[in-house]
Amino acid sequence: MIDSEAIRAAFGAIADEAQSPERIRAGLATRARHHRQRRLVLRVAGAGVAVGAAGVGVWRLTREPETGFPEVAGGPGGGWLKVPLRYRPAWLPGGYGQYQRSIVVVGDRAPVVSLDWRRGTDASISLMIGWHDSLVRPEGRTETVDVHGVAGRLVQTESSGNAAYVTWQPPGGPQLIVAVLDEDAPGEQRATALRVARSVRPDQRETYVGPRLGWLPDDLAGRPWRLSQGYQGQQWIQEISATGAGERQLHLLMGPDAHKDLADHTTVLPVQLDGLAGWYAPDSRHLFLTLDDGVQVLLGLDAVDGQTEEPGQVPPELTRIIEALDHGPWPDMTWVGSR
Amino acid sequence: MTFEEFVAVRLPALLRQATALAGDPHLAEDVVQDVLIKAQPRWARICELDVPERYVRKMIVNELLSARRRVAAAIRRERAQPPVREQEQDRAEQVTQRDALVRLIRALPPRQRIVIALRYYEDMADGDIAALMGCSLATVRSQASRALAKLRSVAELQPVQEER
Repeated sequence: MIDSEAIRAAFGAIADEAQSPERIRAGLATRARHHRQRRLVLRVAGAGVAVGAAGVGVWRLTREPETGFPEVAGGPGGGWLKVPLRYRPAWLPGGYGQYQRSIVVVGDRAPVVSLDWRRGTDASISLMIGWHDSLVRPEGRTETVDVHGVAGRLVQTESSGNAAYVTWQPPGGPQLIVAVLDEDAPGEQRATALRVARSVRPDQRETYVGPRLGWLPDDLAGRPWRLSQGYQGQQWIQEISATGAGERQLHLLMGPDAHKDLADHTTVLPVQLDGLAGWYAPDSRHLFLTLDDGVQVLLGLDAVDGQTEEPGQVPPELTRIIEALDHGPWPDMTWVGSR
Repeated sequence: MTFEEFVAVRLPALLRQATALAGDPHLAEDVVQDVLIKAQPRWARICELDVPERYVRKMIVNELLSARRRVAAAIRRERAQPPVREQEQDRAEQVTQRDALVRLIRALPPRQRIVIALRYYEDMADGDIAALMGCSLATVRSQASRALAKLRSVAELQPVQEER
């Protein structure tokens, strides 16, 4: 005799096969530690671009990277804003390759560039060139160090996992920060951070900001925003993120596979916008579109508190952002995996 | 409640629920981890809701229903457990009724299995299931009806009470 009790017992038997929570707990703890470390220096405008993942995009770019460095099919590069790199490390430990670049944009200037290298899945080294007041300085055990005759500051943190930061400012140059985030002991980490910092040399190369936001709501217009370039699989991906009123987050993901892993068609509305086909997910306030050149775009913008919306319609501010977006040329990705 | 507190207290239960919904402990583990990774950065907003767990559970259901997950789950099921074929039914009838039911439940399409799991394992009313899944009451009932019909037809089960 089968009844609801029998079905419940069957589901109970299936549920009894549930995995131990330990692997997830460990994974979340590791992620959180790396996330906090990066946030120390990459937080923009008081609310944390690196944290704010209404930002599936942030999740995408900060998820555990794959090992190895693929040949990423990029484009010609270029854009509306040329950004000199100015500095680069002449030495990195073995096995590191560049996997991400971030640029903080304020108006028509780019005061900060961050270059990120990684080795495997657990170790990364960053060089941040320049500074903006919206960023957050690392705090922890501090000592004064010498970087080629310039007094610098070495900060080591342990509360959010081991990390070492060396901050200094060459004469006539911008502030520089080397960050080392890995599983090494503090002593080794300190030595690595200092050696990388002392190897930093001028670099004449440049990068570009390709995409341009032609219109933003009042609370976001004029705020600093961050462009991150990276990859997923063998495809490039760019993310724009910014923080507006009430710490609401704007995220714009672009790339040939930007929708991959993120699209959920269960509660979406098909849309036609500016001649482009796509869909809109009201629950998450995410707009998915595919551009004429095959680039997939995902725009997410938190609602302002108390904001009411017409059911079944894309919010006008999302429409206007997309209509005014200049997505720029496909980015040059030849730097992926380089030292 | 902080995210860390929520995970410390509720993760085992979430994994059990997700395993029942997915019919597959490995898929459930992947889904719960992905959902928590997505939820963590926006926990402050999720926490403003009366019952954050309900929101997380909705994320789990959505994730299980996503096209990507459906494909992954189907591949996994085919590798680990071939679909029931006619000639295997005799063998299935020889095992215990619960084991047969478990196997049949695993073979249900995800949407049907989730409806049945929520109705019988979570003891939710159809209206609440509809709200959680973002579909109509009629859809919930038709999915439940189809699932129960499959359980009956394949295992020659007795009808179960469908009215909720």
